[in-house]
Amino acid sequence: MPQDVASVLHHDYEVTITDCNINPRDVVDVFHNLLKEKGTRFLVKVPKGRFVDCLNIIKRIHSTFIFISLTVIEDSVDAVGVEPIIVKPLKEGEGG
Amino acid sequence: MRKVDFIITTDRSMMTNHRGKEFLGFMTTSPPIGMPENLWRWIAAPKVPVDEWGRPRQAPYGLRKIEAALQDAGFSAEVIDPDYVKKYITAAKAVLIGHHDYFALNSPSIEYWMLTGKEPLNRKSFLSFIETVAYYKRKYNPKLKIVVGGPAAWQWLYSPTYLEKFMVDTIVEGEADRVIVDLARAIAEGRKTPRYILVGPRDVPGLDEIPVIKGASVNGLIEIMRGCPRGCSFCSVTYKAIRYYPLSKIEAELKVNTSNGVKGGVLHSDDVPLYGARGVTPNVDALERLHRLVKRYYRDFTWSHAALATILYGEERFKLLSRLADLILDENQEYMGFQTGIETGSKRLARRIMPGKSAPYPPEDWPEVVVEAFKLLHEKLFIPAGTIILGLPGETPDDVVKTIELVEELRPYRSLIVPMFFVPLGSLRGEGWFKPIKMTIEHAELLREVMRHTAYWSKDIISRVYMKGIKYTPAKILLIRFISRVEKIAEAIKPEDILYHVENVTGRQAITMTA
Ligand code: SF4
Repeated sequence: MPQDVASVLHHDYEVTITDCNINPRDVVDVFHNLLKEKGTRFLVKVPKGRFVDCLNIIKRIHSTFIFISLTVIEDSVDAVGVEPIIVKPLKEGEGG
Repeated sequence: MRKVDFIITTDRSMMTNHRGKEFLGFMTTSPPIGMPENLWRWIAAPKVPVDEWGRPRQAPYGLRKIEAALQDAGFSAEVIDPDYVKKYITAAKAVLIGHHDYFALNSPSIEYWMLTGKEPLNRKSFLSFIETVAYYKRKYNPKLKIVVGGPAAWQWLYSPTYLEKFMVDTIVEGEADRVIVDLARAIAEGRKTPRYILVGPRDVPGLDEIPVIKGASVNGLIEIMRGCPRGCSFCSVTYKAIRYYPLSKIEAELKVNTSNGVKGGVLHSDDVPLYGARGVTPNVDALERLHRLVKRYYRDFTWSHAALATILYGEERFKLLSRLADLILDENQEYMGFQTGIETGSKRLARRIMPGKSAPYPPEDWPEVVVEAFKLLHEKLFIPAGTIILGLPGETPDDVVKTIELVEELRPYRSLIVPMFFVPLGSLRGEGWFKPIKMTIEHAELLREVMRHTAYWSKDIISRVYMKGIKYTPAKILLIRFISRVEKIAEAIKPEDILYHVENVTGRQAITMTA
């Protein structure tokens, strides 16, 4: 976990988004699957300086799931062409 | 020069005590109607007294909680009046801003906006304030962090233009008592901060992590519990754990307020008569102890919210309202006001979207529960301000007709009724706020009925119980004149006219003004 993530929230999963233009529904599908695995606390990484560009995705998550915790940081690389969504489970104590 | 690391503040529509009358706060959610803006502001949002350092004598409770959390953690953090923010900007690390309705997208602002076609006062006031803060940041302190939070934090996600224009660094949504300390630490240490934090139900602070306020809150408002067990499908409060403040914590906040000259207040909860309850059965003993305690400190007080089913069931089973009325109403207090959710008069819709709202009564009894509770409240001098929601998912014209009939049945009972439009967040993307609900002739008729009800009873409430005393005379005269005008319009207007007006004039104007 990066040391500079400022949040007391612990996270069950880290979801890295490398392309803000992907269909928000794809991200929602990923979240649905993670919820089935009992994850409710997510650290979402979006490309540096692209938070506003990724707002469509964040809004969709926000309006679909009202019982999750979310921390969004600008940390991933803007890399169209690689996997647009990368999921990593976090161990207890990580992500805080 | 005095230095504060964390400036906690908001605009004037929030940093005011509304002349000691919480319900005048509703005026900030509307554009000025029938009088100049300055006069409207003067009535609804006068400046609060401050000390020599620009610290308000009373400040919104949510800001006080953030201040307390940060001070308890050892930070230099203070609530500062918006007129004094500039003095602290150069040396500050962050400005933390809270609001109930940043861009007037919540009810009832959005309804007033749609019906009048003019920007509500709270939005105008906030935009001018944040513009100034962003200017200070650009000019005097580019490293300053701007953090926004409070119940309307979500609105920033839907306002990307403002997010960039006003250089907002972090949005914090949800109960922030705990997370704000960690965020402040990151800011103080110069570490990178998240852009958005949503505190979900699993991460809400426990009772011992909720701090006791350090300075007086606006109109003596204090929290007594968090959470609600009723499970309405359109409400996020219900997903959070229920936490009842122990009386010692409540007393500590009462002491803070009274030692700062506050004489009355508001007990805040989503259902005050459920304080200390198990499920939806009121705990009479806990409630009596709570009210006795509050009455020892406050001359008069109101509840923020209460559920009608709790009130009716409590009375039928324990004579609860009668017992509480005996404790509350005395020579210092003639009435008790609070907000409550009616939402719909349709049994079908009640069963579908809020089956727990009427519990322990079945949802099929909902309209009767509302009428019986209003009747009881009228008799006991409790004055509810009931919300109704237009455009709930799955609503049919017949459901709206049922709500019109319910509003008509409530006419004999002293109360206010406030309409709200249901706006599904998910379908708002880039479309403007007013597309999701298609106004129908039934909605227009309901709005007219509500206008009639509320204008009729507002005049009675303002003149007979709410604004007694010579100091309120000027504001009272202006308000009564305004309400009489609304009443005349409500009597004469046809539903077709309302529908035409919203569809072709004001609604369109409002759509073009959203960010
Ligand atoms: S009763 Fe009110 S606070 Fe409780 S779940 Fe329903 S709408 Fe929310």
